[in-house]
Amino acid sequence: MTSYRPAPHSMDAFLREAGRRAQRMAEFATRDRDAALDIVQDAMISLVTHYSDRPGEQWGPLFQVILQSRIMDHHRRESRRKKWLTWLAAPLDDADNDPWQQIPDTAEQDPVQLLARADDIEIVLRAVEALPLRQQQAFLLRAWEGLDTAQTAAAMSCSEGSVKTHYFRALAAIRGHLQGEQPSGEES
Amino acid sequence: MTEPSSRDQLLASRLRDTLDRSTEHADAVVDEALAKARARALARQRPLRSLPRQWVLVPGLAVAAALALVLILPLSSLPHGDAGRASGVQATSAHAMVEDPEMLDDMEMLQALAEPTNTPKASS
Repeated sequence: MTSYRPAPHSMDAFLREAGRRAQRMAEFATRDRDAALDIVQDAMISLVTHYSDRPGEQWGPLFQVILQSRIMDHHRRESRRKKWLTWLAAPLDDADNDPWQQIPDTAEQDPVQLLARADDIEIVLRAVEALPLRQQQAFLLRAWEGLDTAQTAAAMSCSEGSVKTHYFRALAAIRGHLQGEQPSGEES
Repeated sequence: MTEPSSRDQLLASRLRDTLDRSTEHADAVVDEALAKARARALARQRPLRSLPRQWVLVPGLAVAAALALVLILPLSSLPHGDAGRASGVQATSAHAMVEDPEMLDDMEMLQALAEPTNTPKASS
């Protein structure tokens, strides 16, 4: 997959365009609008402060490296906080956290219906939000931002093989999610 | 297993378009917050652009100071006081005596004029 985002002509134009996508990504990952906005602002400032002298075509991948790093920092902080808060609580069921358990059966598929559901904003947002974090990152960076495997691996601080695996699982999970969903117009 | 098929690529392309459409309908609060974040970020860009000017200014001042020192030091290293001035006068006079024959004649005339006045004093 090649990058389909055109190189921006100015930093302002880049931040204007990438900012909305970044905010959506951060909100998917944190499920907290305020935290997402803080993360995006932090990433924007960091990009401008350190990399505004780089060529425009490098801003997208660099911005994603910073953004994903901030998202992971947020998750680590939240994990530490929740660890103390839930210290005495009952342990979670591991089956809920297993990505393979979250991929629905995709044996029967109607491609036309699947693509029609993929056009439904609400269904797609729910499907992406339901993905585990790493799958979500791989899917959004590859499919939405148009980064290649190497750039995605750099942004996620993992190997290209891991990116391919996360991306494959994410697509399978979304496909299953779309199959199980009713389009917004058909909901009772 | 991990290479996306054409079916996956078609689905990914459709999902990308849907996600793009989803950001076109962001609410006003988010848009305003993003605009503020963008403005704060861009405000950091201006000092960066003026930074090279600072780096030019500092060495420029250093070079100017060095030039001033080079110009001022030779003057200040000259000998000060009456001895210096005297030697300067002597050198100038000696140079003139050698070069200017009229001056030599004048000097001889002055010496000749001075002799009669000195002789009686010496004899008395």
